Amino acid sequence: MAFLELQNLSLQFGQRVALDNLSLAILPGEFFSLLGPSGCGKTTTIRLIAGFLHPDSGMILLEGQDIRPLPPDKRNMGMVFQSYALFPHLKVFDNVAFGLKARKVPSVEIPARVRRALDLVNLPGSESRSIFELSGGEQQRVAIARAIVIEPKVLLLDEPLSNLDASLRETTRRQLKHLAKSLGITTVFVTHDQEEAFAISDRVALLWQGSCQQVGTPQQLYHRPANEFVARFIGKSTILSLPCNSIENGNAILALPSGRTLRAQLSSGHWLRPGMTCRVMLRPEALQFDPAGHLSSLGEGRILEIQYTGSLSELTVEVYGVHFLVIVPNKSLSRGHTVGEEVQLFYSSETAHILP
Amino acid sequence: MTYLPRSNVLLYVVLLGLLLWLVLYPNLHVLSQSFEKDGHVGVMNYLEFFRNPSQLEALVNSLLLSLGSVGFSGVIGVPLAFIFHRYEFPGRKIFAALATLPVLLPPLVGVISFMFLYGESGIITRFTQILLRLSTPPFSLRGIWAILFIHAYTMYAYFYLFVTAGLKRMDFSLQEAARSLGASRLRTFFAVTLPMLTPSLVGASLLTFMTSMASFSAPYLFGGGTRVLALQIYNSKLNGDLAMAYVETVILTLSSILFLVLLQRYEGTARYRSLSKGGLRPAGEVRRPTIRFLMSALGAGLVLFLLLPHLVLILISFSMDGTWTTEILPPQYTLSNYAHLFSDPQFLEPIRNSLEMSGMATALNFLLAIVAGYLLANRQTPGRTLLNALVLLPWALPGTVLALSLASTFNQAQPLRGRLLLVGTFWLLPLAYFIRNIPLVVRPVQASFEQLDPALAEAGQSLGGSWLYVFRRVTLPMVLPGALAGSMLAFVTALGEFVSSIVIYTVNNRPISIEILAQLRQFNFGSAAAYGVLLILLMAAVFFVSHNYFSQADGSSVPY
Repeated sequence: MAFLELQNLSLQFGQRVALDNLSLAILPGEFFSLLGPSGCGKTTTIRLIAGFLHPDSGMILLEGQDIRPLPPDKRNMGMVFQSYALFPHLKVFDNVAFGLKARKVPSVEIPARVRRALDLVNLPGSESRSIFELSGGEQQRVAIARAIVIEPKVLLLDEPLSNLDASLRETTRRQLKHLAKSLGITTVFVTHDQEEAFAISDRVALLWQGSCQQVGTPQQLYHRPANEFVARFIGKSTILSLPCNSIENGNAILALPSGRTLRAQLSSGHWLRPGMTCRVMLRPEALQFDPAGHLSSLGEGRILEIQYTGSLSELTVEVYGVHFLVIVPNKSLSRGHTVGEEVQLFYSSETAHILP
Repeated sequence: MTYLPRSNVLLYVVLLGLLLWLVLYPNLHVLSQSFEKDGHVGVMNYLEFFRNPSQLEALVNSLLLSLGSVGFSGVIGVPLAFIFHRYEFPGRKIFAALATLPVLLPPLVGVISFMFLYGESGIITRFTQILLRLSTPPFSLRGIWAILFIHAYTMYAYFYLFVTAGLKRMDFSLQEAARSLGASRLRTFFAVTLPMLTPSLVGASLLTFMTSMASFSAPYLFGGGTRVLALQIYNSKLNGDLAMAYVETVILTLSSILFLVLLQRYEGTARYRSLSKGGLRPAGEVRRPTIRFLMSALGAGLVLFLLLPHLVLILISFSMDGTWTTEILPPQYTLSNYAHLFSDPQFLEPIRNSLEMSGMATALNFLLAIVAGYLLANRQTPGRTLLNALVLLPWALPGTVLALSLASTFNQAQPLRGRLLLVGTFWLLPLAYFIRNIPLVVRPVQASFEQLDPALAEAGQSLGGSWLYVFRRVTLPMVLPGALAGSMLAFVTALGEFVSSIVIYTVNNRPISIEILAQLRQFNFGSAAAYGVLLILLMAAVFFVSHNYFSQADGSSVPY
């Protein structure tokens, strides 16, 4: 049973379609991410949930109850804004206590609850500090404390990590996930950063042009993208258009320009018939130069380009006019590849994914 | 966008109604009256205006005077801004701050201190006469040149402030780019620096032009018969030729509004705003010792010149009334002028009147500014353009125009036609103060609302605060500094107001400025100056407080 459910939400700003019939079901206690390029509708979605925007059509159900008529202050959502939106005229304590006072929580309870919230975000004893004395990371944690102290039904996070520097971002996202999980709070997280979404989420919805392209676990999105947009947006890949020769035991046999064939697993209910052309995706780390195990060969080729990034190298390998992207780990200084090197490329049929 | 409650609609309707009634309606009334004479309707009043050489002379004088004021103010203000903000030399910071002093002179007070200094029996005039052993005064501060001198002396500050702001915003890597591309210093100045300053220059020019068109005190006291429109209105009304006063009002108003529209357009475009933010260069060190010395000397001399009106006013405020006749400086000094001010009921009454009227007007200004600023900053407000125009209109209306339109509209009790009988009562003058200062308070408040991160109010709401709670606890505290700064400025402006006051004051509400004039007429220079010093001190206190306690991050608490 979904805890928070968006049903057929549509919203237009003038001529621009911001959301087009979006439906999502978020489970209780789930850490759920809305991922997509800027302008895809992810921030619009979170603002609809918070109540700052109103859908042209569709429903928003929280525990089965339509919350559309409720103004933001009656929805009991804790929101962390991209800019944090800390009240600059109030001290840390008053910022965190704001929601409690607005809810008319008895004033004797407030200091203890504020203290607990600040402890949770690792800022004990910072009650009397001014917002301006805090570092960016501390401000972000005060914003989180302010959102969780009211014990919201849903925690909404609008790109809360985007204003932090890279190293802080990684630690913070680990803490954020830990916090949400230990409180058991249902969380909706907006981000444009795929790696961030994958690292932190139970499930991810990829949005594009106002509609949902795919919902699933990070693994599903990465290895079984629902369409070419998902395949291209998430991670790197080689995508080929190949004619289908035949279908054998749930595998499609596709013809490569080299004359060899490429074997790809078919999902049940596929539409592919022999003679049709399909798009097939190969992830770069699933390709290798070692014929280990039960791998099949794609043919002989030549390394055209090498991008060394430290732990990995990204190689462009040409096989009979087709360019493949290959990622290999850099295990030591000596065992590197060189441009122009002749190689043979191998793949496993279960990693070749036919795009629906 | 934040959740808008229904009560906003009510506020909106009340605000719009109030502005239409108090700002627009009196002007429309004057407009319609200008087409009437002896019960006939037509353009005969306008024909009479354009056939009358002295009326045309007033129009031409007003325009020429304003153009001249722009020219002279620019020639003084622009180089000063460059000298004080592009070069480093001893005393620069103090000189740069003191160069804004003319802003601290209430209009009438400024003009009378000029009289004490450069008038026929002024200190500088007499000093020069005795120094050069002349039998008659070497110059007299009379006529169109006198007005120009006073305008340039006070209005160069607009150019100085605008260009200074422009220089502070400027990205100096553009100049560096021009130089490295092979442009000489001079070429860089004309091809890059000057075009970048165009918005500042245009803004300052239009403001100076409008202020000159509306200028009343200088022509009134130093014109010596020079006809200008703002003064003609007052004279026509005094002579009982109301129809002509209305025509003059309409023509002056139209020319002012024309310039306000131009000003708004240039403010809106800000075409040369730099793409990058960084690249600010601190003032450059001047290396050559002679030039360093010259610049410091120039700065010191200039500041002394600018301080003279203030110093002379303070000096004369301690002079004993009636003792200063032919001497260079007043011969006898006393504290009694100030003692009178606060003990003698006759002297105290104008102060009490001004405080009371300014206080009432400002309280209303504050309330209206919060509502108008909030609605104007909200993009969803319908008819924002109209609302904005109504709020800005009083800024374009010269004081005489405003006073005349109010006096002609609120001179009979016809509540159904929106007319009340306020002429001759205490209430018309505070109403005029209130209307005049609407833009002064609304603009900083609107700016504060616009600068607010909308996420703050949203955060408050999502934390469970109702709209009203969030407005009270988050929004209001954050716009309060701007609102208070604007209100304080409005308060001191109203305290020293002269131009509207002289048209509509009554015996019940004689304000300070009118009392200054009365004391001057009785040759009680000391008392007049004491009032002036009081006003300047109040004004300085307001600027100090709003600069130190209410200034916002970008220092935009006070418009211009």
